[in-house]
Amino acid sequence: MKTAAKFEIKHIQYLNEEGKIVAKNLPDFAKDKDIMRKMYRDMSLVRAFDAKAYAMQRTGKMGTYPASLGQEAIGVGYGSVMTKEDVLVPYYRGTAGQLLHGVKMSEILLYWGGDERGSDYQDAKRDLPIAVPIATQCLNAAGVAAAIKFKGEKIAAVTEIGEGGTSKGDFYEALNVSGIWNLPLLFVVNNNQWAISVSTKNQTACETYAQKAIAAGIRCVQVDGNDIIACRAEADEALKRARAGEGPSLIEFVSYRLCDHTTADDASRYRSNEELQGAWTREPIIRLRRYLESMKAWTEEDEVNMKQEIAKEVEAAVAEFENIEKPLPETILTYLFAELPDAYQDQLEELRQRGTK
Amino acid sequence: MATVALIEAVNMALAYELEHDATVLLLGEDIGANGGVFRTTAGLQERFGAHRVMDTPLAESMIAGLTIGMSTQGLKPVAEIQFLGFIYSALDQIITQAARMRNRTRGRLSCPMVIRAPFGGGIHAPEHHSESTEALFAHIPGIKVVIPSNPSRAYGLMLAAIRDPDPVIFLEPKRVYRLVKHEVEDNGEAYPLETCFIDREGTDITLVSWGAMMHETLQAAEKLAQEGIHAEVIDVACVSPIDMPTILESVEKTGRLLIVQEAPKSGAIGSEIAAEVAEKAIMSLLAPIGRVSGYDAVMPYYKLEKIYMPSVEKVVAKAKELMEYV
Amino acid sequence: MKTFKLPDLGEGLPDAEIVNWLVKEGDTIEIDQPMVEMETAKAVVEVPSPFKGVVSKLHGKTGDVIFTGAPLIDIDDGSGTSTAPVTTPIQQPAKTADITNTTTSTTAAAAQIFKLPDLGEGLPDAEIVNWLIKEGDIVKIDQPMVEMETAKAVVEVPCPQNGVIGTLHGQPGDVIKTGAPLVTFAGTLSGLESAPETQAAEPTKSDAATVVGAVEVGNTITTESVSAIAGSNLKATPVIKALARKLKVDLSQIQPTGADNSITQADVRAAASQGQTKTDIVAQKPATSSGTSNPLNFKASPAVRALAGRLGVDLAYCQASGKKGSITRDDVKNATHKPSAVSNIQQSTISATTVSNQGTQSRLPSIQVTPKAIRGARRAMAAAMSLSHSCVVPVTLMDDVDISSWPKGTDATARMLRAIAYASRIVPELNGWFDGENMEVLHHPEVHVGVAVDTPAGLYVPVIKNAESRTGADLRAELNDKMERITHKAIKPDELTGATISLSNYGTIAGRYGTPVVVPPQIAILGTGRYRDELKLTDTGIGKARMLPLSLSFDHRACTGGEGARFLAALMVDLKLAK
Repeated sequence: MKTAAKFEIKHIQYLNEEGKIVAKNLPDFAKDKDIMRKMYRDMSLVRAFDAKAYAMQRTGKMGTYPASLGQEAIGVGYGSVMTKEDVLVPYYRGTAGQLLHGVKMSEILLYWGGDERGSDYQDAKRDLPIAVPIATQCLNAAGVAAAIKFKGEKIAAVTEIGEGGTSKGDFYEALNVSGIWNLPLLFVVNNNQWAISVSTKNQTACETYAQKAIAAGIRCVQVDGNDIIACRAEADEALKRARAGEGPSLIEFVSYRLCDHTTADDASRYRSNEELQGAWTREPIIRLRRYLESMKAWTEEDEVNMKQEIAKEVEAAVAEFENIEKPLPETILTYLFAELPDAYQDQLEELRQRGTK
Repeated sequence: MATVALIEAVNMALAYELEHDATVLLLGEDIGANGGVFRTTAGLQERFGAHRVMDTPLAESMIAGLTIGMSTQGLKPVAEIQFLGFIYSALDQIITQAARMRNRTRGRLSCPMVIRAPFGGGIHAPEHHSESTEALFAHIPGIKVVIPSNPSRAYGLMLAAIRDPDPVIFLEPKRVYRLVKHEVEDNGEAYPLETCFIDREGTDITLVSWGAMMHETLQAAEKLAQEGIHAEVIDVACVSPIDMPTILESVEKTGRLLIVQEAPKSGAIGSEIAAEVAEKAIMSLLAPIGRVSGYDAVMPYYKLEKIYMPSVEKVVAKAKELMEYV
Repeated sequence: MKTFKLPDLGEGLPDAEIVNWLVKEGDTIEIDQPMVEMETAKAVVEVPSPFKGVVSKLHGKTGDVIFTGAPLIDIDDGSGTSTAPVTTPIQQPAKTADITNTTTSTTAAAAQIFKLPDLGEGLPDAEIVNWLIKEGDIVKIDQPMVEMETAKAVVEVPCPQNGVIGTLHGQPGDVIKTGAPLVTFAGTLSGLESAPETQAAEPTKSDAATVVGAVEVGNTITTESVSAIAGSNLKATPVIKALARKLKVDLSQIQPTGADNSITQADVRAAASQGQTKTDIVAQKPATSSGTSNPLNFKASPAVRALAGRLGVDLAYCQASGKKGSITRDDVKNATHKPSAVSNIQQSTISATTVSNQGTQSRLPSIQVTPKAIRGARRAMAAAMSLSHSCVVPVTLMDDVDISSWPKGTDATARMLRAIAYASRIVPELNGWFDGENMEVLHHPEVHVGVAVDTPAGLYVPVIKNAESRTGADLRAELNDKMERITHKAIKPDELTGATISLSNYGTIAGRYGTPVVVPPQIAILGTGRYRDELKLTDTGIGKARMLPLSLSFDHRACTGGEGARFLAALMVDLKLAK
């Protein structure tokens, strides 16, 4: 009997929970203090921003918000190796990747704060907006990658999805077409173990999420998603290949959702505190700090200063968010089409009138 | 000037845009080597290459999702869904992404895309291949829905759809794909969207329809004329957004309105037109607004297809009923 | 012997072309064995044999087009009789020897349907009496084909062409409309005897593919209907008119630049960008109409129109006190009490300006005309007169009656009423109602006289009831009362209806003889002119006489001239009396 195909999934880890290097062939950037410090700062900023967003929601200043607590290494990992020209197609828990790709904190607040202007990115002009329907973004990302390929651009597209989202048809369809059309696309799968209240144990029979790519003939790998070095290294490799026309990749980032699904969720209803506390010991920022300290690249004073700076940046973003003038009622219709058809003019007029009251 | 049927007119329009606009491309199942199961895209892959006319894997949501993604990046994709009956898995993409991309990014990104699909009954097809569910799309803000009824309009409206900066669902009435030929000049001239076409002028009653039913409606008008009833016949063509002023002006002239649609009666385009006319032209109405439509039923298999679909006789009878209303 | 006819290979396909026979005459064939490859509009299809037996005859060769329903192959299954319901096996080839090769087209065109021609100066249809041929027969041109009975005679219809009869579209006794299919010819003869032509490679297969069902292929070439442009002798296609509507461009002002003097989209867009848009003329339709009022001239909701219909109110009678100038329900109700709508004349202003043609410098002055809408009684009169004119066949008999014997102070109108009542007893045929549509007449036992009254507001005709049984004084009193109330606009509708005969005493003003108008459904009306004194010849010489002119109009549909004359004579008898 012949074997028609076999597969194996590699798991990559360089930096363990204690902040110690446990693998050989450490990438060069891991020895670069500036790069490592920047990534530490970025992760800390994300965490501070998330905390602020939560607080604002709890005080009625913001709508539902999904934080990335404990998963900051993923977005910082791939975000730090995306170029400005690359295109990001996020899902709804992509704050880290988005901030690193040029989306402003105030824009993220506006989106979750109920204002469409939050998706009119001032800098990340080609990026798609935050996507709430599950997995639709994967197909749109495939489309973006197809456009890139069609135009012959030497850039890549990146899309992100939770492990729960990989159960959806759109995800598989996107993998399949990316594979057969050899699209310049990186699929980031954030396996944070929980899809609202459904544990990964109940999400799939696969041993890994990475292997779903095997079914599409795509290159894939699993990394420790709390290990910033592994995150960045694998993302970098995948993006370089994509830009060089070598096709798509899927990286499963194994992490843990230390927060609730969103501000509207209470995870204590379905998971044990024991498990949660255990997960905290494996979280990404602490272990990077330990690594930085081992490199003699970080002190307590650095920490205090960074926190202060970050706090100011977050405050500035919040102020920008809070001070923006209210959108006019007519904007309900003015962006519906490039040119509003005659059929809707009287509705527009009604909205205009309401705006003057 | 070419003498072409509706389906060939679509092909001509696609070819014209592929030739003149390098950002236009086609994608869909079996559209390349096979030229489409109805041969709508015949010859296009040979002419423009497999990178402009792409055969996709079999997944409708994927086709829509790809189209959306591509269109946000400066391309103008025209996707084919092989039959309207298969589009429903793509509805998520169409509604949650395509229809709102411009709005949710405040105009930063938009989707200048077309999704075209053959639809409608009358070809003795197996189940799922004959429904007219255009109302599903007309109900979604942010997309336009266009239905040509003859070759000239298929050519002009397809060009308009491709050039429109927003998503257009282009539904092709397959029953009349090859029924009638027009002389169509391949001059790249688009027809205006949100515009009704008056195919017959009259004074006694306004008949409104679109798609394949235009043929029955025009035949009915001819029969009515033989009985001294002069009907004005309007082709809505763009069922979202609708050019209501043309319809209203006609009703103000005739005082009577009959809407003919293949789709099921309830929650249909006809319901919308009736509501608008009742709202804006009630003073002109001499009789209730009439509708001749399909039944509110799952479209039957083809043995009873002709019973389901509105006939010329039904239209004539209803028109006469309205004429005799007091 | 079984004849297998070509089935519908794809749900509505009209025909198919033989690509390749897989069997030949003389072969033994099994059920379901592939026997021929046929090319339809969609694809090449293999047709299996429905019978087991020996192939007796192939009804065509490669390249021949066989119409759906026409014989394709004969198979001898030993059954002896054909099971085909209508046809019999094709006649043997020997009979085709004297049939000339036709130029019948063998392309995949529509089946050759011979439609019943007009058999005699506009006859609408004819009944099949007797077929002289049957389905499957090979026929030649001019061969008698069928006997048809028209409204005038029985006519023999000959074959219009050589060919094979495919389908007969009716049985003896069926009525076929002129222009409807009578016979469909099947197949072609050219394949049966001409030498096989070299197969030209088909460069393009007309491939009307579909993966499911069947798409009907038609070859009708039509064009979009062009229609006239108001104010121009050009025409425009629907798209041009639609674009003009959208861009608010006046097509009659456009110089066409397209082929054949046609207006192009570019012309319309150019006109729009140059600002040549239509000024919105406020569409005030002139409210005058000839006779019946066009309901669309009035703004009224369906509910209001329905109410007006129930109450028998013409919207023309109604004020329009609703918002936006519409007629309300109250307006309709009030119209029945106050028919005078003098206060409701709408002014519509039309400015008729004649503008010079291009090139000339002078301009004619503009003229302002202001037509006035007529309402109320005048409007009703116009409508009633038109109605009368359209159905009544009037005859007016005139005479003079000597009223010299009337004492001073005689109430003339009362005498006239009495005379009418008297004459109606003598000749009841003129006192009543005639229904021309249903051809019914009602001679009234009572005499209700509609008396025409002239008022500033117009003509009113109050009805003096039961003139046959009331005194002159009583009649006068009632007439006075009615005239009083008319003046004060207090007359009720039921006082204006129900007349069985009418009186018009125009003589109080002027006029001798007249042709008063019969008001349907009434049958007659008496007009009385101005009396005059004149010289009269008597037995004893020349004397004076006071003569009252009478003009009796009656509807000749309802009564004869003799009846009219006798009524007039009776009137004169009564009027001549002193009292």
